[in-house]
This record gives sequence, C-alpha cells and structure tokens, in this order.
Amino acid sequence: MVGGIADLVRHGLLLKYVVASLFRVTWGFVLAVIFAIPIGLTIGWYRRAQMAFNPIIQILRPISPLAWIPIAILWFGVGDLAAIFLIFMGCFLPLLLTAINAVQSIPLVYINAGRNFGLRPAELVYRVLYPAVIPKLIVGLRITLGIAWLVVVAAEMIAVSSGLGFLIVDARNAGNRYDLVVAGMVLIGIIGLLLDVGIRSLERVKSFRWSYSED
Amino acid sequence: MTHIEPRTWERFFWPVLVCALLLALWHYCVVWTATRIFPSPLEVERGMAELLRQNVLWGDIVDSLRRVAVGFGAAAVLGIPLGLIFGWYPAANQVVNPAMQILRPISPIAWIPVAIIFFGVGDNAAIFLIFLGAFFPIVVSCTDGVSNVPSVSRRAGRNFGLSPLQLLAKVVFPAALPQIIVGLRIALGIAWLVVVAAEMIAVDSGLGYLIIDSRNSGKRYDLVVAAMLLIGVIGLALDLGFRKLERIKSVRWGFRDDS
Repeated sequence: MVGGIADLVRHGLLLKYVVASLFRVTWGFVLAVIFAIPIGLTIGWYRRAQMAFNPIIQILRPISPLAWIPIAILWFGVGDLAAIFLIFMGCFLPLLLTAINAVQSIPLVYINAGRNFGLRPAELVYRVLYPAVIPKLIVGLRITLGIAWLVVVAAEMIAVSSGLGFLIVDARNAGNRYDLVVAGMVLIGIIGLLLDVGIRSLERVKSFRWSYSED
Repeated sequence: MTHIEPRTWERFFWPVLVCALLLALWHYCVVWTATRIFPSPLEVERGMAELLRQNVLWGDIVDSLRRVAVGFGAAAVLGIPLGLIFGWYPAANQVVNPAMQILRPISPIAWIPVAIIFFGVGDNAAIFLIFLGAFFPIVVSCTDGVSNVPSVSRRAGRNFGLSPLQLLAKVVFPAALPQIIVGLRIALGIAWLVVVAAEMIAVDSGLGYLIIDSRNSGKRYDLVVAAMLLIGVIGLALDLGFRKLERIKSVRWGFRDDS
C-alpha cells in the first residue's frame, strides 16, 4: 500500500486528484452555505413559512444525493459541475434544517430584551440573532462538511474522471490494483479527518463562544 | 417568531399552497423550456401509476427494505455493545478512537470495490455497505451516551450495592438509551441513503437500481423522478416510525431537559 502511494506521488497524480476533490467539495459546500443559511434563517423566523415548507423538506431530505446523479448528468453533463451539483444537493437540506432549528431555539427572552432596548430590526439581527445562532450553525456546518466529503467520493466514482473517488474505481477497473484502492480509502479518511479538525477549531474562536455558557 | 398562534386551517393551507406553487413552477419550467427529456409532474404521476401496475415496484421496495433491515440490524447488534464498552471503559475508547476517527469519514461508497471482492456482486455486498454506513454513528452515539451518564447516578447505583453487570443493565443503559435511540435514528437515515447508492452500483434490484435502470434503458426520466419521490416518502416514513420510539414512556425518562 505504501508502495502504491509512492507510485502515485511520483506520477504527480495524487496531488492533482486531491486538489480536484477538494475543489469540488469547496464549491458545492460554499454554494450550499450561501443559499441555505439565509433562506433557513428567514424560514425559521416566520412560523408560517416554517409550517409551509416543512413537509417538502421532510420528503426531499431522505433522498440520497446520489439518486440525483441521473438528473445531474442530464442538466450538467459529465464533469465538474455535475459533481458540484450533487455536493450542493447533499449539503443544502441539512444546512437549511440546521438554520431553521437554530433560529427557533433562540430564547424569546433575548428577542424581547433586544426589542425593549429599542433595537432597530437590522440591529436586532446583527447584535442578537446572529450571535445566538452561530454556535448551532457551526455544528451544522461541521456535520454537513462531513456529508460533502462522503458525497464527493461517490460522485467521483460515477460522474467524473478525476479525484479520489475516481482513483478508487479506476485502480480497480484498470488491473485490479487493490493496493491503490486501499491507499485511496486511507487518504480519503485522513483528509476527511483533517477537514473535521479544521472546522472544529472554528468552535473555539472566542467571539463565537458566548452562547456556550450553559455547558 | 411571530407571536400570534397559527390557526388550525393554516396548518394545512400553507403547506398545500407551497406544494401547489412548486408543482406549478416545475410544470411551467418544463413547458417553457420545451424539454423532451425532463418530465413534468403529470408525467411523473403517470410513471408512478405505471410502476404500480406492473408490480415490479413492490419487489424493489421489499428488496431495498430487506437490505436496510439486515445491514442496520447487524450494525445495531454489534455497534451498541461495542459503544457501551467504549463508553464504560474510557481507556478502551482512547485506544480505538484514533482508528475510528480515520475510518469514519470514508464514504461507505468508497468501500464498494472492497465489498465486491469480499462478497461478489450481490445482496451481501450491499448489506455490507449499509452495515458500514450505520455502524460508526451507532458506536459513537452509544459511547457518548454512556460517558454522559451523570456520575451521581452511577454512584447511587453502587451505593445500593449493584454488581457491575446490574449497574450496566439497570442504571447506565436506561440512562444512555435516549441518546442511543437518537443515534439509531440518524444511522437509519444514513442506511437509507447508502442503500440507494449501493443499489445503483452493486446489485440489480431495489429502488436505487430502478433509478439507474430507468435512465439507462430508454431515458425514462419520469420513472427516475417517480423513484426519487418514493425514496423520499419511504425514508420519511422510516424516520417517523423511529420517532415514535422516542415517545414511548419507558424510554423517556432519560430525556431530562425537554419534557
């Protein structure tokens, strides 16, 4: 297995594949964050919006992001965009749910107190809501990044021809190189672990910490 | 955070309205773009009816559910005791934890080549993948559940002279049960995600296969979308069933904070 990894490094393929996978995860994940969090916060703020969207979210959520593969290929062709779309689909709904829950679990006292101090709506969002939801959002981001990393591997096994998922499938199909398969899996595990550790370090940033007071 | 309680009619009105709007949006997008390939909602509904009439659908659903049941069952049977042990002996947890943390982020799908060498193409490979997908979340939630049991409860148990086994059975397990059930629910959701992916690659029956097969044999995208909706509905039903468990009285006592 070590020999297998050394082989890959020598051909310069390994770095290329790792970068390709990380590139897709970054775009899919960032797009999902950009769309899901504002929408989720808005839906969470209005009871009726939450009631209205809940059934659809609940039905779409259990659908494996991989079940979207035929549709992703139909819309975006075989390539990076299809993989990014799949990662986006895998991350969007979990993030949306986290954002909705985060808003709904803000204690009413905070909001009433903010209003009593005469905060304007914009200030209320910035000084009360935003700090109150951040801890939950970060936990959601961490879980979702894990999902994105799971999905990218699967997407690359089917929809594109580079990246770590492709490495695994390709190593098996081109000559049963199971040493490379296992090497690819271990690499996926290690990079996934690093991503998790990286995002956990966000939880420790001082300005995010204030609502952890209870524990 | 609007303070006026929604009325009863609103509980049905808003979801129905949003669903209708989205369906209309979908329908008119198909009409406007004049696509021949992507199905409109009506075509999906017809596709669903066709599947129901042909009776293949039940076979596929039963196959998928059977794989999930076996894989998830095996993961629960092995994962819960292991998690209890790791939670009970922190030293054991420290030994195993690094390896677990590296194995956990590996997509169950990445195991497909390995599953196929071990088990060949077939049911067992799919079940193995589901097992892997469900196993780690179950172990982690059990470990956390046990190590979160307040030490007051343990000491009280010891003071009443319980033997270690009795302590485990009568104090620790019931106290950890709520968290274990939450972990099982999450794992069941993952198992349902994995079965679809596994069936798209490793076997030739089940709902995942239905999706890939309807695409490959004649671009029947109406069946693809119908199968996706079915997967969603069944997944939701599984989740609701599991949530019922959380509400059983004898399970509830560990949910201290939010009664």
